Amino acid sequence: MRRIAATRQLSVVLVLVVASVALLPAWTVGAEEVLRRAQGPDTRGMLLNLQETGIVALREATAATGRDVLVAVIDTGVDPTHPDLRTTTQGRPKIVDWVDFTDEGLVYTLEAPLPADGRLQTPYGEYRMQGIASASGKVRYGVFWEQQMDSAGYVGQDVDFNGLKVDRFFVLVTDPQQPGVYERVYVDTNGNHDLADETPLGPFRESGGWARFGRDDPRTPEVEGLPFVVAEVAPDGSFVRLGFDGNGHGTHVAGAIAAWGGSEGLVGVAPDAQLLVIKALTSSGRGSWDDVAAAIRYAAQAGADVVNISISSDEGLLGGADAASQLIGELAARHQIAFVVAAGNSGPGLGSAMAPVDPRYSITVGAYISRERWAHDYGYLVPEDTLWYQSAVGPRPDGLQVPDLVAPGRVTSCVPRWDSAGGYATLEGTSMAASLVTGAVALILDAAERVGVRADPVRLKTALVSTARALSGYSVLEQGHGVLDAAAAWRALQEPGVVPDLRVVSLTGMSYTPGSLLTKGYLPGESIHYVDNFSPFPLRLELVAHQPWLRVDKSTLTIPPVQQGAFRVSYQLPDRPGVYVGTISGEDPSTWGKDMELVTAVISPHVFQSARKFAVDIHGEVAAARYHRHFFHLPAGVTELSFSLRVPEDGRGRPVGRVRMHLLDPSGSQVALSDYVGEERADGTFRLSHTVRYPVPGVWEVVVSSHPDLSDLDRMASLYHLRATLGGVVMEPADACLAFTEPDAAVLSLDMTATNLGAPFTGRVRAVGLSREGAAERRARYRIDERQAFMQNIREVPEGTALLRISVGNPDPPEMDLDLYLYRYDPDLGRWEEAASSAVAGSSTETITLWNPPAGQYIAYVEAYRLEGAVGTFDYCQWIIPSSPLVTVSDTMEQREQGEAWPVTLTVTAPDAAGRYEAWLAVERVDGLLLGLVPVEVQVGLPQLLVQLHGPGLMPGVPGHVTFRFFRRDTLEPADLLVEINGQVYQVRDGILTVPVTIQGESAEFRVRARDEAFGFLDQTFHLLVPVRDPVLGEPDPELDDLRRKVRWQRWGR
Amino acid sequence: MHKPTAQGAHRFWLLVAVLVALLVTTGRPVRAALDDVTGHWAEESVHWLVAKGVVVGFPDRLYRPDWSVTRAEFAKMLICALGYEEEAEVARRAPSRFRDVPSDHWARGYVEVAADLGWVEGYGDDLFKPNGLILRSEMAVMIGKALGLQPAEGLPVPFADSAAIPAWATGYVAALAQRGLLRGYEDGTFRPLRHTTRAEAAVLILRLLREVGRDADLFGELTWVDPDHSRIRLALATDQVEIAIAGRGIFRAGRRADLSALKVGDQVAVVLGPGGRAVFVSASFADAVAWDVTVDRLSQTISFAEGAETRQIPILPDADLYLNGRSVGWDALPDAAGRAYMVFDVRTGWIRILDLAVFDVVGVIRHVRLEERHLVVEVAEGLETIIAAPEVLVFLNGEPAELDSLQAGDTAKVGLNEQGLADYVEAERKR
Repeated sequence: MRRIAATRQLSVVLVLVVASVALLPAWTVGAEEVLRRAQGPDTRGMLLNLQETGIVALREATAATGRDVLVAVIDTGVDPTHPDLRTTTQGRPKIVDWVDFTDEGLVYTLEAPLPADGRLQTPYGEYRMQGIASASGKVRYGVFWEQQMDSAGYVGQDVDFNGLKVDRFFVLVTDPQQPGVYERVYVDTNGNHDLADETPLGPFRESGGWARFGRDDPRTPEVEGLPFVVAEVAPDGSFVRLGFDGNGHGTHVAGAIAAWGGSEGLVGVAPDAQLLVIKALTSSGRGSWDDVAAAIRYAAQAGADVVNISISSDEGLLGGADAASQLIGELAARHQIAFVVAAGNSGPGLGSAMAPVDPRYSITVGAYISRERWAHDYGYLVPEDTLWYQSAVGPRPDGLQVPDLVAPGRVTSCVPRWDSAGGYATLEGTSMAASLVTGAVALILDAAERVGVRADPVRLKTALVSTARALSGYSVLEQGHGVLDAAAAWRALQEPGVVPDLRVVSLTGMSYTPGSLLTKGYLPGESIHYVDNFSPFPLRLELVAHQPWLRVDKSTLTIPPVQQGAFRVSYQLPDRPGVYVGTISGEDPSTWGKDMELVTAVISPHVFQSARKFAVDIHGEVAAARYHRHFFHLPAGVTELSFSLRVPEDGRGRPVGRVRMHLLDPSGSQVALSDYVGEERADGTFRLSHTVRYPVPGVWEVVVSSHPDLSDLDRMASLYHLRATLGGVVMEPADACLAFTEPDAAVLSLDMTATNLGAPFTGRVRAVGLSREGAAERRARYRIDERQAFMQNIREVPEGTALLRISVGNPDPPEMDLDLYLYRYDPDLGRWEEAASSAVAGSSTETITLWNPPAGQYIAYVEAYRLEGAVGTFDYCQWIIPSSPLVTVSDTMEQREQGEAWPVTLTVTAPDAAGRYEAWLAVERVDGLLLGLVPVEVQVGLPQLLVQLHGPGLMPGVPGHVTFRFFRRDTLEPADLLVEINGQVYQVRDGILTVPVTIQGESAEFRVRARDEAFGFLDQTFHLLVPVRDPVLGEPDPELDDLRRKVRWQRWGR
Repeated sequence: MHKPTAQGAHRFWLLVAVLVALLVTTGRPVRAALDDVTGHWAEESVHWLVAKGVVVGFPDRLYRPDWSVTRAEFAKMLICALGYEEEAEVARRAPSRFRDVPSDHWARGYVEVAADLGWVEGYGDDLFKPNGLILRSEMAVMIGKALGLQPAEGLPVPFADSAAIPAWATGYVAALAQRGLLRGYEDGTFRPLRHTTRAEAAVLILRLLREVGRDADLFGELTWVDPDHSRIRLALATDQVEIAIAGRGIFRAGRRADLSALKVGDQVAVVLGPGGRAVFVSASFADAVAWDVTVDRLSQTISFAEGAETRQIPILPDADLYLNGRSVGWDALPDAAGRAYMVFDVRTGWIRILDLAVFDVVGVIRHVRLEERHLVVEVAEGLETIIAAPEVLVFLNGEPAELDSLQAGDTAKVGLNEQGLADYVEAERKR
């Protein structure tokens, strides 16, 4: 044991060094999988795509072909050798420029004198270069290594397909014409040390040439060899960039946009459009934000009319995508370029979209699959068009709506012939959808040019979104405005009229977002929307709320030029869990197209109630290839959250349909995607479940989707039963707070109920703490692979720590095995010693709990197994809770049966320093295992609030208003804060909040709760009574003076 | 006593000079603000709205309560009352949707936002007539729309001249009258085509604010008054608070009052100003007495005859209940009582203090025999001797008293306990 620990200590140091340089890629192409390689283009499939989106009609109406339109494809590069990507219909070159912003093909060179004998001596050996000229008498040479390529690349670091990843290719650069002007490149593609038999290449934009690594094996249908171009030669010849598509994604996108393969090959949407190929992603489809930004700038500067960006960020909006969004907005405005951006393949979670967008200029595209495509590709009879299940769903975390529209997500297009013998493959994803829209934009620009219609990016986008055809059964967050209708957009574009420039910022108090609102984890009561009119003319928007639960305070909104207007929306939500997606439109009749469409989506989650044994049951029916989403609010301190999915059986014992579930945590990350359950499962499984250990509190999402193949089973829809349950020991109330408000109240207690939802156990509830709020718990999700253990430096565990607990779990992939070790630095021995370990074979949930651990430096160490070479992720949780005599809890060691609920009382003595604290209730089994760890907030000495409710004007059943006033109790100054009234959140401004209400009966109850940073906890309930009509409130009557005096004596003693 | 020094005299003359200068520059003696509403029936409403910053007087500090209000002025009052001034400031810069509201019209922003909010509509052909005097019926429609009311079509309009109300206003007038926001003139008319005065507008805007709960910052029962230090204490619905009073904006029962006139037990609405000090205080106390009442403990109401009708009034769930001078719970209330003294919550009209008296003997005291604790009372049937219980409660002219302070000639109303002993005596002595 000691020896093993010692070796691990050594690797700890190594990991630290490596981890600090292993930066994660910020960009990636959509993870589209190759569905099918094809011998020829799927002409019928492409025709379906083009018919569904009005592109056929647009072509017929305008005869547009994309002529004179330059389309930039920012992607993984494009295979220049593909026969369908050589020319336009008129024989002009298809690819006009090929540049590379990655370093994947970068070759640095050294100088050497031109050998008189044609034999160049280099450290890489001797190379023959008979007949190759150099004006200066000097040549430069270097080497392209297979290993310099992205190790995860699709082409697999084997450009000559000889099965080895260690080949190198000699590169020679010469200045044939003018001394010092290096412009000719020879690559020893066949490795024969002779450059004379190689095609000399110049920079692609000048020469249009290409070559190929390796030698084709005529016995196979594929072409063994990666084609490449010279993307760049440094003017002094000091480096060369070889450009290639080592992935195939860029070639596929380019083909869909603009392929011209004649009668045999593929005809893309705009066969006369020309391509500007900009490689910003490596062979694995990954790249960095800087490269993408440089690519976007290059496209603008090179005169692109349309830019296709079929890539998305997998790192959220931190830095990259957001900066890209700004860049897109800037460049689109300055150069009048249309940007078409794939929405991303991160769906179906609500708010999963991360694509870079500019709300005014860029066109973001999601993916859908039509009925006809389902039938064409698989023979499935799907009742209606459906969204492609992974199409990213808006809004982005910052509130911008993604997608704007959707287009067919399944496309057969060109791929390199080293990948597919025929040179074609069918891919699915939003990248494909975006490429079709890009092609349509190229057609529209061509048509507009021919007849002299203005088609600047803003008008173009307005025309596209105003005419899109909505799919039934999907919200605007999922499909944007609907399916592209290129012909209708073209017709709309020809209408005259100005497009206003307006931007919306939405505010609920809890969130402040440009554009749309998605409220998750709370129910808004009111939102305020600030509308900036950047147009040079005034706007008068007619405001319409399209849902009965939304109310707008204004019927019109008048905004002077370059001014800001505002309107308020109040929410009277149905009392039922669900996703409520509302839209508010603002149209100025004097302008053209849709002026403002605002989405406000409210998630009203299911809650776990003790009365229902902390379980939620949902019975649903979902049509083939469609999904339903459900949300669950998880309180803090729960140790187990489980979802089980079952397909009920029909009368003959046959399960009705096939479904699976996506599970997303409160941050929107997909935690699990289950197998399908239900009909046609070989093992007859009708039920499956997934358990999350130490789940993050917040709102969890489960998306249940139905298999598209139901028609094969003679069904149109699947039935399902989704059950969500909590495990472990649950403490109630879940969001309690102990607030020391009076200076003399030194001790407070709180009665709670513990419920054992797990197996029977013997144990008790212990109190630990106080810790400063937020200081005790730490959670993160980390990546891990088998070669590289994960290490978390816990740093100092202070004196007087009552509980040190660390836990790892929730692995992805689920079969990953994790082992957890805890080391403490022993200053006496001068080395790390294992303090505890949890290494259950085959288990990925490991927990270490140490009561009263010795103070010192600790390190948590995690090893992963059964990853099969992949990279996995897991949750890491850590609690360090001090001990203090200030918290106690009344509970005794007892046997607790499953389902048993018992009372415990938490007692807290006020600490000296004012502030916010957490007391912890640890449910401890007799053997020391922790079954629960629940925080309870404790507040000391925070400014208290004074609340008043005024609402004398209420009549039963009639809409009316009540007004709440908020003051600092000590100064009576108005207090601005966030409050929750009857479960809905409002922002209080200037201490005043007027809320529309309709009460039933003679009285109404208002529960006012506030957990504002600036004030102490507030939880008060007010009762409001309906006033007496025609009250007896006569003039003062002196006759009553005796009675007044008497009652004063009775009541106040004087 | 010493002579003023030269410096002192200099200072004196300087002061005089300043005062003279003030008089000269203003041209007339400085008036107290809004003194033209003093004694006016709308005095309290005007001061209330001024304290809230909703209306201001003219630059000469007069309010001119009986002048008429223009449509633009009323739109501005509504916008300011409901907190949309800032938006009006922005909207001022947009061209108006009304042809007759030019870009330099002082009220353009107010009219525009009021139109955005749907509170005002123009006349058919894009006209607003901003400088036209607003009719009472037009005012009713604007108030109704600002409150978000639906016009109550089909509801009877409780005014004698309801036939004169234009059709476009009838529904709103009815809805507002139903809520007590429009009360009409004393002769039962509404006079829909009369111009609205500034006093009427102030009263209505205050009622509108009360209707949505925005009239006062604090509202509660007065529990302590300190006129010397200008401080009061209020019991709020869920809290207690002590407030310093700044200024003289103090009203009781609708009339200007000194702080010393406020009584513990009054209900007080407070408008707070800078520093959390009260800049306006309105105290009210509403009470009434009824005879031969019946008590419904289940619905928590009491009923009594009012003319030919029976009146039923709800009692607040947390009301103070007394029976024969003693605080009691709901269970101890009798089914009927000879007298009910009621103190109302002025906001809802519900009873907040209920003092019931059940008298078994009523008459004039003839003898008081203290040793035996006997009262000899002359009733219709003759003399009756009543024995006082040890715990007897005695009130004389509303003040607590002892048995020995009663004397012959006092009128006495006596309640007996279960043993037939007097446990409650209310005596009245001619003053």
